[in-house]
Amino acid sequence: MKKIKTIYPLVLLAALLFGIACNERPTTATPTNELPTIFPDYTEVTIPYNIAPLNFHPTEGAERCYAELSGNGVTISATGKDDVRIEEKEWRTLLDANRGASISVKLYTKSQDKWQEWAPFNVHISDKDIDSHLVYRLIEPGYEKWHIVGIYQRNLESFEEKPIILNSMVGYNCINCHTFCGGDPSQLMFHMRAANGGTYVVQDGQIEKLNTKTDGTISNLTYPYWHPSGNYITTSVNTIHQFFHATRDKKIEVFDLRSDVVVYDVRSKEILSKASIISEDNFETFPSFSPDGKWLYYCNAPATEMPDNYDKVRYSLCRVAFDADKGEISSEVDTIVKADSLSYTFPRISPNGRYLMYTETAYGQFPIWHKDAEIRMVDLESRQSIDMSAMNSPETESYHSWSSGSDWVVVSSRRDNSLYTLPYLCYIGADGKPGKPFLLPQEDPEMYDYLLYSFNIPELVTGEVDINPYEIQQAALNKEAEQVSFK
Amino acid sequence: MKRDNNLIILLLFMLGCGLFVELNFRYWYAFMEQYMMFQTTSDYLVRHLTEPGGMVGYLTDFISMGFYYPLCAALVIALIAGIVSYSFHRFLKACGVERSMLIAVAPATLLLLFPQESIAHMLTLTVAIPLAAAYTAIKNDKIRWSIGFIALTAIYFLAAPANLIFALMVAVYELIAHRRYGVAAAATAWSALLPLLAMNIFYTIPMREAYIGKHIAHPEVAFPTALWVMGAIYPILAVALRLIGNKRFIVSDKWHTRVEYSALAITLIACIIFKVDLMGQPYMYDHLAREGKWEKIVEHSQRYGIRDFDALIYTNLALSHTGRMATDFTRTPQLGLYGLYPRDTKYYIQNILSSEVSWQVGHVNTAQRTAFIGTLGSRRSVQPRMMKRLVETYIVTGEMAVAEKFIKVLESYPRLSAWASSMRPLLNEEVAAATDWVAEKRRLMPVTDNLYDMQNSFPKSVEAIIMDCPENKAALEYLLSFVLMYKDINNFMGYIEPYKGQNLPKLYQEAICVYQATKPDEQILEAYNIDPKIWNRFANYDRNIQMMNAETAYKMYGDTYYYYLQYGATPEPPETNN
Repeated sequence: MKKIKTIYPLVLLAALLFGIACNERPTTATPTNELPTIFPDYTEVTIPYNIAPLNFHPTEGAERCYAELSGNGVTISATGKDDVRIEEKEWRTLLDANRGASISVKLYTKSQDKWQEWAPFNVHISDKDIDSHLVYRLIEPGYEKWHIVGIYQRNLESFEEKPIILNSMVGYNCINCHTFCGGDPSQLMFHMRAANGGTYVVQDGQIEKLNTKTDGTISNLTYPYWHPSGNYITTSVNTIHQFFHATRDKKIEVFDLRSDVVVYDVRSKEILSKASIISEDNFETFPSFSPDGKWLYYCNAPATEMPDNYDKVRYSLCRVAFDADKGEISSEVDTIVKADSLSYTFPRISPNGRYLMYTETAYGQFPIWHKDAEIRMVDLESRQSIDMSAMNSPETESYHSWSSGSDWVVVSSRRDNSLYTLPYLCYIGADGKPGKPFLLPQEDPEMYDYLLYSFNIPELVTGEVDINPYEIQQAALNKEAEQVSFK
Repeated sequence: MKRDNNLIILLLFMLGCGLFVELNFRYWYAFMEQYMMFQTTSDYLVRHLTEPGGMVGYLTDFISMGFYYPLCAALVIALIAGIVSYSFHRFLKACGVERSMLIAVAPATLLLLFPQESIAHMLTLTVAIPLAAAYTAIKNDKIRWSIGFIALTAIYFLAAPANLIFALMVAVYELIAHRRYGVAAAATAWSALLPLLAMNIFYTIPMREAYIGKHIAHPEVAFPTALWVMGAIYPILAVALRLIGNKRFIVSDKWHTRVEYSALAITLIACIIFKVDLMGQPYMYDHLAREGKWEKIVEHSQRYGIRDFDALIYTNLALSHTGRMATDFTRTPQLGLYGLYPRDTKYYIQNILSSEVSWQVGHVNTAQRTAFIGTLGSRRSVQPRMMKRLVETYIVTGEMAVAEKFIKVLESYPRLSAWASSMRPLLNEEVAAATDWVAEKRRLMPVTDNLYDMQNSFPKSVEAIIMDCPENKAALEYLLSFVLMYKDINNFMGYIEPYKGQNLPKLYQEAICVYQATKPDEQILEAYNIDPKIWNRFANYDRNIQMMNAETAYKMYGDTYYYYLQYGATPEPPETNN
């Protein structure tokens, strides 16, 4: 017993010394001119100054890692067994000292008892901040079935992730299509399907549960977008179907048999016929409002026989004027991006009103399973396209959401493995040109390797969503859904 | 001597438990193993540490890895039953109940009678009951209460709902042995309050999960009554025995012992004989399929018969794997589409079957899709066996990055780690292309897109595969079996037409003979190389059919397609979009 007592402090001391020794720069490293290959790829990326540490690991594996990060006279080091994990306070000091500049990252890796010093790479620190929180749904990238679903919020300035609502709390139903009013964390809506079904609108801590299927619309409200006033939500109503391909290059096709665009008045709980685009001759879907609230953007394609013509449906991006005082749209349609050989979807206007970002794909409006899907952007002042090749990859890029300052976007991409959608953050310069996107940093960079969920509908919000998950649960379980009317 | 008796009873009970599990439920536990996936990653450990009762789930997954192998489930469950029963006996003794081990082992028979989908509930008892016994061994009140409080709190986080059982046992002990009503009330109240505190401080989870965790029963369905009983019976039995007192109904030691042994033996033998696993056959075939022992499935089904659709699908799949689908057609019950392909592809064994059949016929996309659904749809959202299929299918479709992801995940699962690592070289496209099974699957894959789903559009989906690749033997056999079992000779002739001049199996030749008899065409017999012996035998049957009763016809022609055509019941048409 006495022996154990003597050994214990020695073991602690040895562990401490080992820790210190491991945190020192290797002195016998062999330098190379090659850049290291790391995951996530943070080489030469532009990041906001308020982002969490960019932990990473070398893709070839290593017995030990050591990294030195320096810029403007500040140098910090980070170490790990097979990855590099940066201490948060030191990272913050480094970024604060390097706003608008670049930091240099020098990586050392140890393999087979030999240290190697890799060529340094740069990380550019923007002096523009990104909205502090990212809200996303974690869901298996399933085909026709969901199982475990949750909407989470992640503090981008740290690694803190909290659930907003989990389907395990509300009967394992499907929770989807969360959207915020201009990135305001206190104004949120989402749907639940199956058990406790309904559309949930959260404003100023109050939760409304709504039944949104009316006699005048073909379905429940589907793909939503808030009006900047918080008084309206435009959504599509869709009859959605899917089928499965037989050949190796394609998996699933999701298509609408019919779809319309409507505007829901949050105050009167009415779907406004005078602000809705309902037509049997056209498919209208994925609407959004301009940041000034004066335009209603949507995707539009001539209706056709489905699924026979699934690969011939091409959507244009259109807009109509919206009068928020009257709750009406004009009948004059302005086609912003006309579908010719390609199809366009997910229109999103930058908060400063200058750019229209959208997704381009060969056909249809649901590009998540289309490898060819890419992000495109048009300058609304000049109506000129902007080169977005720096943002895209050979795999699917689909959903996107702007940060409130219009300097950052989050983009859904399958570039990592072609199946799981992950959120990539991307700088948008003053000229509209994108930087190299970087994967949302995680405390454990291996987390993505083992994660069996996709990040669905990543939405940037300006602060923490403070509605208590148990309040949403109680509303779901105990509240009767109020019937929305069609006026 | 009495002590020896107790030991013998305990050992006999454990032996009986082991036998029961090995004989009746070995394949059940082997089947459930594939719905758990212990991982060696720190993330997996942390995830379990940060949910109530998570360590029970962690241990369950770890131990269940062994259930794939013979005897492992039997040994583990026998050991658990032994530990729990022994501890309960000690607990009873501490409560002043001087009863033989037979009483103490009685509640553990419920573990045998109500098998659950994992052993998490057994591990929960293995925490609660021995801890309760240990609690009673501490004589100093204050030390006992302090340790009890710490243990109660700790096991909530590590092994909930073991805390609830432990609290009840503590309450029972304090009431019976010490008349400490306050301590009993405090233990019960704390165990009831703790989940409420935890769900507001540490976790965001539903109340059910806060109280009983999500590991001992499927959180998406109602909590099984059997589990309530299994948990509550220990404290209730302790109280009941205390109330009854130590009165013995059989005074003679000799007879008492004899009756005890007899009761134990009768109970265990009755369990072994009467409590059989009704799904034993499909689970056994599932296990044999995982080991690639297709011949054994065929042998077993032909020797013992087939008891349900899932077993029939496995039998047909085994016939396909062994190249006997046509030759053994008349030896297999023909029950229509759902004997070839499962009715609902989203759940458990049917999902596995769907992936297996699709893989066999070359519909790689469906094999992949159903494997994916099987993985995400399973209770823990993992299914290592279907993840293996995902690795295989993604290598076939050339999607190496996602194949690598699943390889990495499987490498963290010790039971399949070596297999996963052996797949790594195939991530190199050149190696994959030069690997026989990959090349073969790629060769047989459809190249012309279609919208036919294997489940809703059978046989069109299989027909489309053959249109692209007529040499896809497995797909052809499935297609022809389908039309022949529904006695659709006209479509059969359409499908067999491209194979004119080839050596066709006897079954197909017999079907062609039938067609020839209904629509005589001198060219047909020659065009299809019909064996004269087969034709002559059919001609004899045709001539004598009016003079034969069914029994004679079966004796003489029971192995022929035309016998099936005439006397076999036509299966119910499938609920499909055909």
